[in-house]
Amino acid sequence: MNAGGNIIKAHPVTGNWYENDFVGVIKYNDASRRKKMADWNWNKEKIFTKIDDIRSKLNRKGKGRKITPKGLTNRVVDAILKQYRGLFDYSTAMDDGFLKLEFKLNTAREMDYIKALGKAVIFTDMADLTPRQIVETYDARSQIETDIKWLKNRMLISFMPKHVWKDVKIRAHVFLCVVGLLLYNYLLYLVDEPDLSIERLAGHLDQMRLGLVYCGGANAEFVIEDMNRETAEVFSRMRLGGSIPM
Amino acid sequence: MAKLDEKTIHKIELDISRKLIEIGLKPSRLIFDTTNFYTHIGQGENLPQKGISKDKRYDKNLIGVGLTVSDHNIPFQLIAYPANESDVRIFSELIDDICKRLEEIGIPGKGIVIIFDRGMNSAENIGKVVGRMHVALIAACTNVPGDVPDACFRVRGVMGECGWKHHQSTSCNRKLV
Repeated sequence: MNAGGNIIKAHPVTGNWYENDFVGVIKYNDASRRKKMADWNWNKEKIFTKIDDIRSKLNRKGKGRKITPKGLTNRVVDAILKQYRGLFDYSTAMDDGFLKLEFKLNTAREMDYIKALGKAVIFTDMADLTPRQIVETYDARSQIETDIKWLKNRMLISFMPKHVWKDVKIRAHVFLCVVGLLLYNYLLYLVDEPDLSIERLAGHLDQMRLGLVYCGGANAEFVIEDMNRETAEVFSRMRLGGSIPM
Repeated sequence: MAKLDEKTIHKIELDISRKLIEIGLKPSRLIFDTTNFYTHIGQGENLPQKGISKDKRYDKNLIGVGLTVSDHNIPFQLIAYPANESDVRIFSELIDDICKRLEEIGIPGKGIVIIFDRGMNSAENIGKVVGRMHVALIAACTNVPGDVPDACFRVRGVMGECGWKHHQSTSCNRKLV
């Protein structure tokens, strides 16, 4: 299973990629295939609607600049999303002063595309790894995706610089954000609870409050406010009790 | 903040890396990925540039960020770059920096696995990595053989010996071994 809880299937392969001999796997994720298939069906419909719209304006009469074959090609290209451009055949031509557009879906290429949906090649130079290890190692990439998500979370660590204009300050700002992320991840490592996210950890940290209380004695004392059970557990796992000033 | 220049940041990063190794967080696996974020900086210096925004804000200037994290998600290295530069080129520069950093903190590059995705794939980059550390696991979606029979993919994730050896090429000739 991957980080998203979907079953990953794999097929071992060997080959020469980028001028190097590697071992690898073709991994297949059915959830990814279903999602991409739904995207393709939705986008295919959208592309044909756009092309129909372009066709309806081809030889219109009236005011305005007439569309040229080059302009028409550009419009057609713009109507097709980048990842689907290879799946369509199109051509424009002038016939008796009328602009004509040939546009069709290449079914053979579409079939190839559909067959490859959800599949990706992962390769490595570590020949002793099993397919499971290869897939799991690659799947570790989901960690960094999560980190990037947190870096863009405005409530937690706001990556977007505010009141910072110069390059040197932008670099410093980005660095400080990443140091913040490092601290959160280090605390997560200390707490060692797989289900705890950075957001929840930040919530627990907000709950931990230290007060200086004077009880009528000679000196005031530092007192930790009452916490709920989960926060108290995080507090003890991080061994924060030892950091309270006496 | 202006005092946090590249040299100072590098020193801090080195100190943090050394401290983490001291407390037992020695990297054995590095994961690299890039992202970008938009800014409201209209006319900045070199960093804010137009590019393909991951947040779909094509109207704004963007700043690219390359982040390398080690085991336990601990950030290992960081690079901020103009968003109009390609990932392939950035990675090429970064791999030298990563190797230098590993040397500085006394970790042999050959014991490290670096993981990156297809955005960074190029013969030059992969050649650069292969000689210095364990090549990473890289996903390449180019020429993905769509004709691998579904029976080859076994349930529960991983299959064992299925009798097929797959040779990747443009025509994807499958050979039985």
